[in-house]
Parts: sequence; C-alpha cells; structure tokens
Amino acid sequence: MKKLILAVLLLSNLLMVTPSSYAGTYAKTKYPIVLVHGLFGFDDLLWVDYFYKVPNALSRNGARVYVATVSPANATEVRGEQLLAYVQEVLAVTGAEKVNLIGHSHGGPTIRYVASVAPELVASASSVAGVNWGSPVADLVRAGIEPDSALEGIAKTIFDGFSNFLELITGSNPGELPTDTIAALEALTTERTLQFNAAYPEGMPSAYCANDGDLVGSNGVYYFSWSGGSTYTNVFDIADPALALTGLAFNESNDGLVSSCSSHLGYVLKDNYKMNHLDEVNQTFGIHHLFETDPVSVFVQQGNLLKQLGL
Amino acid sequence: MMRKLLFTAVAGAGLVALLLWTDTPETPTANRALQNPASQSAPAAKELANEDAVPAAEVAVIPSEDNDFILTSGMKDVLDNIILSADSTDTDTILTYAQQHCIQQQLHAAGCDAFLKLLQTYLEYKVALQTLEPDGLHTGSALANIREQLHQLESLRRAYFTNEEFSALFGEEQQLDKQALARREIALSPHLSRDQKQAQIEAQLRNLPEAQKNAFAPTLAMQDLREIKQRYTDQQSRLIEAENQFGAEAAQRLAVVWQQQASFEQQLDDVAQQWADMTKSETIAADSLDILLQQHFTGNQLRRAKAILKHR
Repeated sequence: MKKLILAVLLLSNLLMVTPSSYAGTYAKTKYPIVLVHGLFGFDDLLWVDYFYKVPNALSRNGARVYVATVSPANATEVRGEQLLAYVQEVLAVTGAEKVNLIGHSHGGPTIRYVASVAPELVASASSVAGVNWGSPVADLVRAGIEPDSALEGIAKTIFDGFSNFLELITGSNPGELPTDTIAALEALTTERTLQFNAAYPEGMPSAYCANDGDLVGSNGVYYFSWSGGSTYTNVFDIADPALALTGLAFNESNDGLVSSCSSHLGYVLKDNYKMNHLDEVNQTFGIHHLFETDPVSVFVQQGNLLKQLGL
Repeated sequence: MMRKLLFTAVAGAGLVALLLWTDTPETPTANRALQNPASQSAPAAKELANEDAVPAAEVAVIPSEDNDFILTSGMKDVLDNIILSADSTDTDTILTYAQQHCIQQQLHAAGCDAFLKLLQTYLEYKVALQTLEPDGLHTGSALANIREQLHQLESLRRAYFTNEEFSALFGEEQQLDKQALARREIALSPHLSRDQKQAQIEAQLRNLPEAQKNAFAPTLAMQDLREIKQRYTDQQSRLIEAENQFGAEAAQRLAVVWQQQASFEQQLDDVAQQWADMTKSETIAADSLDILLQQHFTGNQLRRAKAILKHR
C-alpha cells in the first residue's frame, strides 16, 4: 500500500511537468546535487576534472552542483564525516533543506554513511559503481600487501593491473586532507563492506546481487544505483588495459574494479552500462563511440529523475 | 490491475493532469517500474530510465514559432539522451525514439526531417569513432598524447559535420577539453610551486565564460569558505568574512553549524579523554566504551561518535 501511495505521488508529480517547462531546467532539482569522488580520485588541484564535464552538463540543465572534497584514501566513516561537514556547510550557505548526493566508487559507501547518520539532510543517495558489497580486487590487493604474502599467477597479474591503474590516476594530491591508504583498501574489502552494511543498512538489498533494495529507505532517503559492466571499451581510454587486468579478479559482470552485483543499492537503474570504472565518471577526456554509454547523459537523466520526484 | 488502480487515483487528480497525460505517455510506464522496487529487475529499471529519458531531448530543442527545427548549442545533449534512451545500437530503434521526440516537440515534418538527418549523421560519426584503429592513435596519459587524440577527434568530427553543426554540437565540449588540458598542464608543471599551481588553476576557473563558470561557481564558493576558515581562527572574524561573502542569513546559518560542529567535537574529545583515562587506571569490561558513549550521546550522534572513535 505504501508503495502504491508512493507510486501515485510519483505519477502526480510527473504529470505536473509540461514539456515547455523543460527548457534549460531538465535537471533543475529542488535540492543541490553534491558529487562525491572515489578512492584516489581527488586531486585538490584538479578536482574540477574528476566528474569530467558532468557539472557542466548538470548545470546547463538547471542543477546547482557541488564537487565535494574528501580524503582521496581513507576509511569510509572518515570520508563520511568529512562529507557530512561539507554538506552542513553547503546547506548553510545555500539555505537549502537537503542535498542530493551522488557518489562514485568509494563515494557510494561514503554518501550512504551520511544518509544513514544524517538522513534529515539528505534527499537522495545515488551510488555510481559503489563498492557496496566489496571488491575482489580490494580483497586481493589487501592480501597482497600483507607481510610475507606471496601472490602468484593470475593474482599477481590482477595486483599488477591495479598498480598500473593507480599509477595512471596518481598525482592525486590530498592537500590538507588526512590520507590512510590501508584503511581505504580495507574499507573496500568484502569483509569490511559487510560490516559497514550491517551498521548502515539503508537501501541495501537483502543479499549479494539481489535487486530488492528500498527505493525509499526506512530513513526517508531515496536510494538509487547504476554501474558499468565492461572493462575494455575504447582505444582512447588509457585506463582500459589496466582495468582489463583487474577485471580478471571477477567471474561475473564488472567494470574492472566493482562487480555489477556489488554496485546494487536501492533502485537499480541499470548495472551493466557499457562503461568501465573510469568511464562512469567520463574519464579520460570522455570519448565514447556508439557501442559505449555516454556517462554524462546518465548523470543528466538522473538529475531529471530526481527533479521529477520533487527532490 | 495495478495500472487500473493507479489510473483511477490519478484521474482524481483532475482534468489538467489527464490532459497532460497525453503529452507525457512515458509516465505510466515509469510509474509501473517504480511501484514495485522489491521485484524490480535491471530491465525494469532500465524501462524507467528509458521512458523518463525521452523528455530529456526537450532540453535544448527550441522549436521556432512555426515549430521548425533549430540547431542550438545544447543539441548534443539531446542526441546523446536519445541514444541512451534507446539503449540500442540499432539505427531504426534509435530513430523511433527520435520520432517520438519530434512528436513531443510538435516539430513540423520538415523540422523533424532535419532533426532526424542530423541524428543519423551523428550516429555515423559515433560508429566511425569505434572503428578507429588503435595502431593509428598515440594513446597515453602524457599531455602531448591527449592533445594528439583530441586533434584526431576534431578531424573526424569535421569530416562528418558542417562548420555550423560542428560548432553547435562540439563547440563547448572542445572548449572544455582545452580548458582541462590547460589545467592539467599547470598541475604537471615542474616550474610551479603547489600554491602557484592552485592559484593559477583557480584563476582559470574564475575566468571561464559565464556558462562554464556556473558549473563550478558553487564549488568555488565552498573553497572560499574553506579558505576563510583557514585564514581566520577566531569565530567572530570568520563570521564577518562569511557575511561579506555569502550574506547575513548564510552567515547566521554558518554560525549555528560551526557551533554545533565544535560542540560535538568537544564532546567527543572529552569522551575520548575519559576513555583514555579509564583504560590506564582500571580493568575495563568489553562493553565499557559503549556504555560511556551512551552516557554522552544518543541516536545518530551516538552512531557517529562510535564510528569516529573507531578510526581515531
């Protein structure tokens, strides 16, 4: 019954929008959108280019967009507390009542933390390839950096692939933000994400790969997710070879670092877009052929969905 | 059955809504997909995304007075949204979505033809992108390689589109690429200090054309706030500066937020100190920390306190 009422409300809301009102306002959400980067993604000099062209597209379509600054590598709760402080200040500066959070990769659990401990400040939490149920790559890399560990064969290949991936995206400069790489890696292991899910369960499906996460969590926050399901996508993409290697850690659909199933949170918009882990945020320099998904369009459509829901 | 219920309920919302129904045929499907998230599958969710996506095309298509088609700078958003909505690489399927867009925009036949022709050319260009041979590309993360890739991309685009089309579809994007390259060049410069790099990149962002500056203005404002906090350690000076920058109301709200944050931090520090003292002086039970925290915090603040102390 609750779902029916919700559906009617949603439909009523949709019908209120006339086509003529879309011009330049297609993604004009009620609440500001805050984008949250993933592991190692943030360089305090080049923060502007992490979600490449996404703020431009959302802003062009009427959204007010913030790119949050949290530690490039740290425990989820540490990043979450940093994000919470940022959100509180965004609300103070704008006078808005809530924000719409969109987090990529480790940004997924990060936004979930904020939505869980401060739901009164969060209208929605959209997880893009969120590491919501761990990553075999993190499991393997974490094992690989244990003293006396000896990786062999395929495990070594995956470890090397991840190292190459890190090499490509490093240059990350945390500025004054505290960094703890081991804590970050641990946070993304399957074991730790399960602990995290038990403490902050809102929006999570009942089992790995299940599709039954609540659209509206028990805390009143809307939850969404989407992710890519490809590793090698584009000859222009410098990260493809590295992600093709890390993809070997999976025996299921994945984007090179996160499995489609692990990305599930709340309402799963789609879990196998033709994108790898960096394509999802339009890296690098966002070149897409017809057989890939244009990630910027996905963000803009999500903006429109949030707008239609009155968020 | 469920749709009937929904329709009945919506009918009660009034005639206006019913009239609009005909303008937005995608909404019942979108609703159907949302009504039962527990049983949703990725395809059902896709249905929602796709059906909702069609109006996206309305962002930038501005019909003229006689509902002809006009090429505008936001047209690429429209085309990309249609391709995403179609979720297919089959031209006919994509064109079906495009025709729906023509109907929604009430484009005249000639206007729709012009729109479809542009979309077809765009699809051919997107296919050509895929067929570029890796051997002919200088891929890599070095600036020179990226510059070369973007140059090749421009050549391909110019081969498919007229100057006017190129400008409308890719003009802004090309500007954004150039600006991003310039930022990367600054960030990688061995001749600049970190502060100099930061200053130059921020200056570049603040001097972007208005439309592009809008995308980052909110984030830059938050960076200004961070600088204010770093520069002024006493609350009074901070608030005066915040008021100058963001106005009196925002400053008042910031004062409340900062006071709450400081108070929570202080409470945490006190508890952490108490806990440190306890662990030194006595044998403590496994649940002692939980009990201590519960004496000082409740609800979500308690959950936060536990999380923070765990990682201190």
